[in-house]
Amino acid sequence: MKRVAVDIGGTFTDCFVCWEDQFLQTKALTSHQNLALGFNEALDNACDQLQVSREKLLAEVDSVRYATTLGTNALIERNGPRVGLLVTQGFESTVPVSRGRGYAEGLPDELSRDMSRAKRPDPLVSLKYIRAVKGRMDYRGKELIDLQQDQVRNAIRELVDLGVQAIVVVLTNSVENPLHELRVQELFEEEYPPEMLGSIPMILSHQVVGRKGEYVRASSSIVDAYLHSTMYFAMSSLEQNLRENGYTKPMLLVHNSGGMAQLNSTDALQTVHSGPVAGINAAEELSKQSKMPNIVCGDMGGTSFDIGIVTEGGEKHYDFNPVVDRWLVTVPMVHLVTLGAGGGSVAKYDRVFETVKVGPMSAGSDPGPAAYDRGGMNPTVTDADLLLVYLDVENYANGYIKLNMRRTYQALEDICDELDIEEIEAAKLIKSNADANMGGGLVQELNRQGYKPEDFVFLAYGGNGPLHACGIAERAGVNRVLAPPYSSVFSACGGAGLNQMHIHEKNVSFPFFHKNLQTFFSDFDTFNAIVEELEERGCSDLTRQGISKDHIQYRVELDMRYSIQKMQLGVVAPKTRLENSTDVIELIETMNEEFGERYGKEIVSPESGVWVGTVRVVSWVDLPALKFDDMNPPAKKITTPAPVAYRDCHFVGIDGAQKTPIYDEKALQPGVLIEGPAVINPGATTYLVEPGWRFESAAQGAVWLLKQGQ
Amino acid sequence: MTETNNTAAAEKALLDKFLKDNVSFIGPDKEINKNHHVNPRSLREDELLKQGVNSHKMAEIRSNLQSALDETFGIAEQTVASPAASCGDMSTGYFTPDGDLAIASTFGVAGFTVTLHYAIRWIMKYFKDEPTVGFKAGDGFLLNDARFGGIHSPDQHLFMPVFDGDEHIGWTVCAMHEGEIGARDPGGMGPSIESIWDEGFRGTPIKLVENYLIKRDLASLVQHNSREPHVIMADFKARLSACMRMERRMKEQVAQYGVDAVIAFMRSNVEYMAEESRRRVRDLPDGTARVSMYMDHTMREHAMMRTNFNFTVKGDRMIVDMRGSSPEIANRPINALTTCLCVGVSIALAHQVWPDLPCSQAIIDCFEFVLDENTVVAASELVPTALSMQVMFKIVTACEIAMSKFYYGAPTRYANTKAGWFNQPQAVMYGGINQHHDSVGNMCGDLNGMAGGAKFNEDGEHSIAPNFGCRTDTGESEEAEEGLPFVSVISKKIWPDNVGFGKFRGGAAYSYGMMRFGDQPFGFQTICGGSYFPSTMGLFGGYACTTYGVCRVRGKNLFETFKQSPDLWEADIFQFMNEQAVEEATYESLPSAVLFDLYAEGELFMQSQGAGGGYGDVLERDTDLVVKDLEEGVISHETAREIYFVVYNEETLIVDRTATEAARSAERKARVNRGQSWDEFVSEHVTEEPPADVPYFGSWNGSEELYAGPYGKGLPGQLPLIMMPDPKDVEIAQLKAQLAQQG
Repeated sequence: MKRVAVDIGGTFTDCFVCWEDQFLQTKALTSHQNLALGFNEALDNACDQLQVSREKLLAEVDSVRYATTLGTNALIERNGPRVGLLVTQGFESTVPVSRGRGYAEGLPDELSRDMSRAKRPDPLVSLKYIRAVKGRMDYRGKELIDLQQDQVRNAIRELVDLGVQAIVVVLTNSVENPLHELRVQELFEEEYPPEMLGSIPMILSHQVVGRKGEYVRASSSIVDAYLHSTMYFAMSSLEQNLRENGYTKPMLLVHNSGGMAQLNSTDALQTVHSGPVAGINAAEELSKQSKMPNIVCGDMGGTSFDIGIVTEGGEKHYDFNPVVDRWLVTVPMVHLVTLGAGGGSVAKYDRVFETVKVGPMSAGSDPGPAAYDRGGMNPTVTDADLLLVYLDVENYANGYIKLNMRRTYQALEDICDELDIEEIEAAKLIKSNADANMGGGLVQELNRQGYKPEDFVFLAYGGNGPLHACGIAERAGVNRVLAPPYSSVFSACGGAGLNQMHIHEKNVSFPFFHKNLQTFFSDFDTFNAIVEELEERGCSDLTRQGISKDHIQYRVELDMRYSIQKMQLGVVAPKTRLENSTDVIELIETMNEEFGERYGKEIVSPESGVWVGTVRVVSWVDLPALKFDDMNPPAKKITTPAPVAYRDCHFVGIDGAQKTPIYDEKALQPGVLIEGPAVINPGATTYLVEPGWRFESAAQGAVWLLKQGQ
Repeated sequence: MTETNNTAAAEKALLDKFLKDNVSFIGPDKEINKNHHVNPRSLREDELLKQGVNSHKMAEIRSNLQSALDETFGIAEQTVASPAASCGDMSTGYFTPDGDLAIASTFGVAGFTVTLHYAIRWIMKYFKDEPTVGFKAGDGFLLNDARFGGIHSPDQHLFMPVFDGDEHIGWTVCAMHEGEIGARDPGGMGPSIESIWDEGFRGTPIKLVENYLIKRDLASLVQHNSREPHVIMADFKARLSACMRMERRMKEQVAQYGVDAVIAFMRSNVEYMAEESRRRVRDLPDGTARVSMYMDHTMREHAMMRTNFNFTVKGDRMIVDMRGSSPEIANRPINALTTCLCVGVSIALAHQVWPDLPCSQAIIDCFEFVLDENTVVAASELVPTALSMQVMFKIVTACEIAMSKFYYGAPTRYANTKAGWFNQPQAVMYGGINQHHDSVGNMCGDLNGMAGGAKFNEDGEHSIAPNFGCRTDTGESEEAEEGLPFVSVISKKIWPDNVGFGKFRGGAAYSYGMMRFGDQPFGFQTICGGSYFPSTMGLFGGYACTTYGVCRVRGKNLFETFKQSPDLWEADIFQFMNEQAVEEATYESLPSAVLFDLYAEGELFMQSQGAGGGYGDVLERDTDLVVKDLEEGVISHETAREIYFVVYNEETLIVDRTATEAARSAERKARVNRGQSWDEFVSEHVTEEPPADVPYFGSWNGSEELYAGPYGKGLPGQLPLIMMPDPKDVEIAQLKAQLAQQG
């Protein structure tokens, strides 16, 4: 297999190249002015190692896949176009007011409790760019009031005259009947023909989202419109760069649904968070290939800790209402929880409870931890790690950053004075608190999904993941940690293993069991026709990208709920068509079983009625997967290399310094076993083996951290 | 003499024993309900805490239990069926064995849990050793009557004791607004409730759960008393599941840290919070902040009912003197129990004043409440309290305003100084049969769309959250239409001038209107005041919110009208009401408390959420902000000109800054000219008695006597039972009198 996968982040462009049986990981600084430059540099690094030219490599690979945080950055930086919004009359303030918790989306828990400072993010669509039109569908899609076309024309003209650069159309109940939205588009094109210079895009909400909920559909469509031009120009220039360098196949973009598609089959919204999602996909591949049924992923960087779950059978955990930056949207996105915890998390004295509190404030990378000596005055988790002697002052981050211990001491003064403790004690409290926050996050997430932490392997990656892995795992009650192979470009690595996939869904309201009428769903023709239509849309997407129909596979999923509960459970249908009541009962029983396992048997309530709210079809084609070696620690051990040094490190729960051996990259040879305490520093990543844990190297640079007795 | 005394004592003991052994009904306990303070330490707690606690270990346990509560809250919010609870109107918490709230979930409505220590104390006093009840691991008590703890009867709560072996180490609680409990009106809190017997199911603590199973006989009893039996059962299950999950998490802490550490944590957390709040009060300057507000409606008739709050800091004590508030009204649902007012203060502190502190009743341990019995702020057990939040929301605002004054200029502030949040339960309640043949009766999520007060440094937020919670939700109209037989012809629309003006304005609020869809029997009602007298307040010169009513268009199927003449469909209450363009339809403008009625297809019911109060002098408002408000439709040109005194071109919105400064300067001079000396003001405005044509309730002009509308006046405790006449009878009498006059 020859393949290139790239993850374009805010700081680095990570590149993962498969070249037959060689896997290479390279990095370059992201070149924001022209993303192709950073990509070319990272790719050239790989080419140098392979001793092939960039053109030869690109001519021979089967695909180039991109994951990117560009969309997220564009939202944060607010450099998108001026968006206008057309809504149904009476819904003019739906977007400005948002949902009740709109102010809190994307905020740390603590901040969202302070109502005196509650503040919504600045809107993506200003109130003055919102227009309403008359026309109304009822909840079943029956037209109540005709669309008033002259009013539509006037509203569009007003918005265009105000200088909007994209128009989003969100008409009520359009997912039941899109007639009015489609007619708005026709009128728009009559007024402003698309072939004319200066034409602007119009986004119809029912084409972005197939679910009910006028606010979330609007916010999804607005985010999509807001990112459209930024993503289009950036990705087009990347594609052009590939063409100029000998690549002739379509460029593929990683989707946050866990699949990928060509540029011409990708919404801008589908690219948001695609990097972290690709990382979860890599975890899924590891899980399958190394027979690790349950993995909880933890990507710990400087400012955030991303949590994802992979479970037996490859069942994906989706969020149907994820938060993008500060916006609640509705697209099926691989479930990812982000905590405000990382190396830059700031510690402070908690006067009320006479202890130390870490986060949610972060020093980020600028100014960063006090030890970076860039003006940061607050003590951070990284400062604590430095004081506990886990970090190499001279060779931190491959020597890119020189650490200044004096700054760390100064930053800790307040905490030490208030608690009347020494700096080392303060550092232990900070590390302990940070690990507890992240470990607690893992536990909460697993419990919410109905799982037990002890059944999981903790996959620790990201710049600070292997350093805090033992501490986090200890807090979470997880006994086995795997720092995966290619961990420094793990998301890019995940992109290399993705399949082309599309998800299409339709909002429905099917009473599979109607408690009042005591009837069961029997309109199988309607149900099957919906599935067929969704399959056709998926098929069309894939065949348009050159995939043969014969290779396309389909999976039907239903979002089911009890009575009038909000909680919808995604249930995979054992058959793609319904034929009889037995199929219906089988689905209800599947739902009961999965619901009970996740949330408790006491809460299973089929007697209150069972409804299906969404039918979803996942259409995909299996592409050759990335082959990992067996990740399990080799049974045969090799001689442990000699430590390169010893340092007096400090550990939570242990008084006094511990003489701790330090190892270099030789410790990463498969078969090496080191008992904790130990520090392994092969360069970019620091592995901390805490007392009571051991280190075992596995294939491809993977590392296990195992609690004693495992 | 001694012998006589001994005999008397023996006789008294005998009589006391007789009385204790011969109780036919164990009802609410006044002594328990009067005590909002933290319990004394138990012997076990005292021993553990005397050994000293490791505050860092306590922090770990706190973090883990907080995480457990938030996890549980998240799942329960998704699995409940009650519309309000599924919008976040719920809370979870851990209590000490004796019933102090040690820690509550971060989000939702902490007010539900901060008032349940009363109920646990009651269970511990009356049922713990009662042979026919008692409790053990796996048991759970259901409660919904606020006279045993809580806010009002539409809220339902489940309590489960947690044991470590044989040792009772705490309680888990899942509390929420259930809504429909079979009251006279659908949704459990309608305006027509006239007695406690109209309040529907009034559950004392009942052992609904045994051995982790819901007892179907008791469940059926409660279900049978509700219009929504399926919702009731679904929520029983959700609460049980939540409590069981919390119990598991607590036991995990016991396994990890040991039972002593967990007990010590629960107690020390309560004490930390009590001590911290005491310290914060001590840091405030001594003095009094007075906040007097009025309820302008009893839900059946107009009235001016005073709610009087004087907050006094004395050292480390905060004294809240509520004397002078209106007497209770025996046949109206707007009375509040004192326990409810403790909630009001707690939630104002938790969300608006000290949001960095975990929420517990311990944060008001240093508060003392002074009040007159049998008033709307200290109602007796015999008067209805289903709409107690009419009073409770007032004290929330009063606490916000008073604390903003205390903290103005304070060196350390824990929250923004700001004007009053909106404070009415401004949402349509509904009842009837829906399109799926379900019997329903509840409240729309718009309740959670109250607007925020202006802050000292910026404008308040448009419709954002209730004044009693955080991170609650309002839902989506498309989803509401899926389950209820109406069409949102106005879903959310901000209308001009619905803000509290000021240097920084309060948040604007949206209007909404539901049109009946389908032919099922289905209707609406509302439960608000603030139609004649502004409900919330501005601060330091900022304006209060405006007043709000309900409007409806009846007697005509407007779907047919709008289908034929779409021009007549307006998404604006004012255009509907001012133009009254649909012939044959009846247009009505009503106070915000509207009795339940069934509506025919195509009839329209409209209301608006309320605005936040303004902050500071309108003449200091930045003209750019005035123009922004104009552009966004938040204010009218009249307001820009006549309130803010901005001179600008209405076409281009370009401001003439020189002319504006001149206009503002002239207005300042005019203010001086309009001003009066204190003596002039007193002689012109202060009267000995309230106006004769105003049905006034409460103290007047500093009197100790309370006025009681048609019942005259009297000292507290000496007033007769106040029973308002039925407004329909009043109207009939008036009509008869008119007839008699006409001969």
